[in-house]
Amino acid sequence: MSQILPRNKLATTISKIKFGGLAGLIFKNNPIPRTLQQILVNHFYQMNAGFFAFLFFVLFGVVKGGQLIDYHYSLIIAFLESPIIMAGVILAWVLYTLKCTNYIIKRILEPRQLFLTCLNHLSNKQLFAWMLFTQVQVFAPVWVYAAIATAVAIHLNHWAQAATMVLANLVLIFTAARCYTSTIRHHGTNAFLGRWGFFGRWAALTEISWQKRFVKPVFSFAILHLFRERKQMLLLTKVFTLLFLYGFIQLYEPYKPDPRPILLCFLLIVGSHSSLILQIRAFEREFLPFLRNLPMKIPIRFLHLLVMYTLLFLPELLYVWMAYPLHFTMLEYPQIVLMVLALAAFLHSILLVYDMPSEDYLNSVFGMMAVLFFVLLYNPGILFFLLVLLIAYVFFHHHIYG
Amino acid sequence: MFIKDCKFQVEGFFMLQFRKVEKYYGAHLALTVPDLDLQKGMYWIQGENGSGKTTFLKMLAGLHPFKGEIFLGEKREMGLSDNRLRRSGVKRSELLSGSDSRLQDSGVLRKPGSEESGSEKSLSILKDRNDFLKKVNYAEAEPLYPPFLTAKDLVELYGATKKADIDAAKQQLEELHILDAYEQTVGTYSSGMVKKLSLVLAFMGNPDWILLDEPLITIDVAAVELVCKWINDWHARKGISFLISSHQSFADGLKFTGKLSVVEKKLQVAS
Repeated sequence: MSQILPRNKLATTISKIKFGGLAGLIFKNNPIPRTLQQILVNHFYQMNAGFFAFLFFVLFGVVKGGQLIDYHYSLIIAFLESPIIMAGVILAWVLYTLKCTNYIIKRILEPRQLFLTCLNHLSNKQLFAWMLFTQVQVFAPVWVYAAIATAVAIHLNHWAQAATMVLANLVLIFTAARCYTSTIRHHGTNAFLGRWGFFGRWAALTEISWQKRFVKPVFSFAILHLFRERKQMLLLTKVFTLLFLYGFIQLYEPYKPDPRPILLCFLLIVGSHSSLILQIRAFEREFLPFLRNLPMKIPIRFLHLLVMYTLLFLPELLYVWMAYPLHFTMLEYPQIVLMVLALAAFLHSILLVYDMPSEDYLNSVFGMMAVLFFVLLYNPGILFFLLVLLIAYVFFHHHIYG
Repeated sequence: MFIKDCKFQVEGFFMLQFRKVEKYYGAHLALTVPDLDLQKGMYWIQGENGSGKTTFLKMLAGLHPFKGEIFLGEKREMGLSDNRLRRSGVKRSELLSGSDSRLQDSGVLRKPGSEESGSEKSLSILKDRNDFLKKVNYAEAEPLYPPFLTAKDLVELYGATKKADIDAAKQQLEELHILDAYEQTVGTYSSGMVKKLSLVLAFMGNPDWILLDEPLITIDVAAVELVCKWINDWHARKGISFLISSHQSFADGLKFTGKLSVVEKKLQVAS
């Protein structure tokens, strides 16, 4: 690029790539795509960096580089030739669309993004086109892969499958863009989503009656936030970790109880929750600064943290009893619980120490998991996890107030 | 304050002391506070947008870390038996204000440092954080709470941590006409309702200092009058000190002891 462009033009181009992304390059003087790119698209990818890193690892990291093309070709053939697998793939695309729409709509409705209502001066067609532009970008991981699969399908004369994939992608992209358009047109009134009103009203009524009965304790705040604002992320993480645990328990039969394989499983489970932990910290930073003015002792705050993570990992910590007594003894269960809580508290605490970008944080998580993988092979015992918990507490104690 | 045997003493952390306080955002110096002692009173903090008023209040409320030290200095201002109190013809509620001239004329009010004034100690925000925060309440200019929490959740939380009377808080919510929404989530509140809720939370417990950042924005005219009345009453009757930042004029609504201003990133006592 430096050979083609003079130095000052190169700097401008780089800054456009950095701050305006693709839109900055294509629509040089139009602020609308630049704004949509920065506020919606870039933010979506930043906040879901953990999810995409995990997806990238599953799709491209599990096989050797030389076998990558064969691996994906086999995958594509599998869902082209099996209607059931094809249905599963389309279901995954629908779930991803729900993830996108849920995130983007919430983002548009944030009080700080109220200025986006200025897009209402555009005609319906123009607004829909820009929303299409947004959705095409956040949906890129799906439609790029689907385009490759469609090319393979056409090459192999699977015309029906090719048409199905194209149609599914178009329907999903256009529906999502329609949702965004309606959200901006009827900002705050939920006119479009209101058509699904029965479930909304039912949920609101049950929520109100539930609210009246219980006062929410501090440790429940972050969990409630995940349930309300990060449903898809929470659901996907839980489905993955529980399926993983189920598969492990069904497929692996040790000769005698040995806690190490189950500890390794839980290492991966905690790692899979790293994006949720990142979301919890972001929630604390944005909504819970007022707690700092409350006279609460630091050990009590740390105890709240542990109770919160106990609740978050409760499904896995209960489900693992399916592996008892084949995989672990009664005395080894506290070690599993302690490991989960110590690692979660540690990941939370390092975010207090370093307010790092999500990419750096996920790199740190991968690094930590790699080290712990070898440590766990030697079965370090409960004292090791007590030490990790102690380190987490020291970090927490010194950095909870910034 | 406490009653012990027949002795009656007004005890509180009346003096705010700043020692070499500096606030940095990264390498950028945002605010310096010179060595300063603020006696009990009602202070108006003035300054341009972005001058550091909110930063100053947040440091004091424990929301922002800083360099230096902030103390709350304790002074026992009175000490006498019930009999003497009766003879002086002064009610206990008047005693709490600590400023009645009859108290001084009758020798009931002792100047700090006199024999009956008792010992003095101070609380450090760094070393005695919990005790410090029991005595310093804060209401943000633009309060933000998790949208799924109800006013009930927040009042109960403040009640438990600040050892506050929940019924008194509900009474204040009623006076501000938002008690009907007590069990609704704050996500359904208007910005004015959230502001009113945050003001009520700032009055909960037994504070010696209440910090109010732009207390009058977004609330209706009747609420402005009511909040000014609360501030005057609580200062006069309970001896609570206030630090209030506002761009709005209070006219005759509040009787300030003094003014502070932030000029060129430095907090100073205005004339």
